[in-house]
Amino acid sequence: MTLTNTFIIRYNNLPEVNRYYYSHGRKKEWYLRKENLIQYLKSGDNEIDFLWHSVVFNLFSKTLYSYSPENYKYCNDFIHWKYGHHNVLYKVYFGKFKNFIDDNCSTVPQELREIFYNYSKNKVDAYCKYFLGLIGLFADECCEINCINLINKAKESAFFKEEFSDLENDLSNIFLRNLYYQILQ
Amino acid sequence: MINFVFNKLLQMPFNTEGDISVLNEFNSVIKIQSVLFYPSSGADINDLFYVNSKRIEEINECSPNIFVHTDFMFRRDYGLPTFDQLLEYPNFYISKFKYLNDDKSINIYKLRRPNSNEIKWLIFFRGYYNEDIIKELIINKIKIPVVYAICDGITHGMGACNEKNIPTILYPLLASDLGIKFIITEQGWDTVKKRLEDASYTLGEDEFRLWLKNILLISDNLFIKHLLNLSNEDLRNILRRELGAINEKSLNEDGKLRCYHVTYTKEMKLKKMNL
Repeated sequence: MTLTNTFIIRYNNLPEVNRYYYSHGRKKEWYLRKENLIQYLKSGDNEIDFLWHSVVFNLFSKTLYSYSPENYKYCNDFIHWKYGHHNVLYKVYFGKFKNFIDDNCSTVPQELREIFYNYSKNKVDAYCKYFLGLIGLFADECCEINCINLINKAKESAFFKEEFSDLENDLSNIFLRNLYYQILQ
Repeated sequence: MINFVFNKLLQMPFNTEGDISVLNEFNSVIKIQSVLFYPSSGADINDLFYVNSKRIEEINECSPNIFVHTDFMFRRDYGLPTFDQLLEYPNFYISKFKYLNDDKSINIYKLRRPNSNEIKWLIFFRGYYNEDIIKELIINKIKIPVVYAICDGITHGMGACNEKNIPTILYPLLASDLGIKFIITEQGWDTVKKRLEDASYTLGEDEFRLWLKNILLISDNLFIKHLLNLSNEDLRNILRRELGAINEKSLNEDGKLRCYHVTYTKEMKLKKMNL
């Protein structure tokens, strides 16, 4: 199961940023302060997985909203119906994917940074599979999403590319390359 | 002046705004395309997304292209998001025409979904009673094969601001007048049956008798006339027999989300009229 009730509850509880924007309550943003981030990283591999799953889930929401808006509502409604949590897709990360994975996670002490980087690099493949698994789950359960079409559409957009770093050793860049590779496969 | 199909609802001064070609086109499609009617719709537009033959196979050729919404209590300054802003999510391409004054408005929207050439129409009557619109539909011989009646504010929820109201649980009695084939509602037979078992009175009269009289105000329906000649007990017995015979199924119980409402997804039923 790609998406679990436990994950959704934890994701919903990620601390939110309050800032004014013109969204009529349709957007909530989460953010982790440095001390929170350190706590997660100190808590072991499962927590690193949770952080990745959260930022990938955020990417899924943003991708759907921008490139498959006709399905964004169906997926959001489905989560409410199946898991009992309302408007989960409205919640996205405060910044871009790379801001969390590459920038924020490099502000932590050297030792934790290395643990995070090395562990993540080994698991990027699994995180890409998680992203594709989310699309697959919703495609099976509630709407017609063509995974390849969705990613190809996103690939053409500068807005999507900006989510990821241009530096090839950055984790977000590795994630993106791995994602494209998996789509090709 | 444009011969708007609902001209009779424009008895007081109205301003207009928007694209007049939308009104012209709406006039030409309303009588030929499949229509859904959503009484007391409020701000809900889930029917636009869920009531189609892809989601609900049973409705098949009745899959609506035109959605007629009405809500008496929807205020102009309802707050954010406004009704127009509701439709902007998720990214409909919209053209619109409106008649409006402080008390009422008739908003006509031509909507195209992103990544699709499919056109849907929505007409929203703000400040009108459901019964006013039903009467106009009958006069104009506009059939509504699908009724989407979630929380009508009469027998379920808040509202009931009209003494001449007709609860949606009795809409099956209007099936022949309006060409109703399907009703999607959270008020299944269990709810209706219980209501029929509870003797309750409104304005000193059996509530079902009162509602039937209200139907006669908009429809010259012989069956209703017949019912009104019966005692309260017989009247309720016949309603129990007629309404109880309607084929009904739950929409979301087989693990698939076929129709969604923020509050009543679990209770949603599809009633098929026995025409």
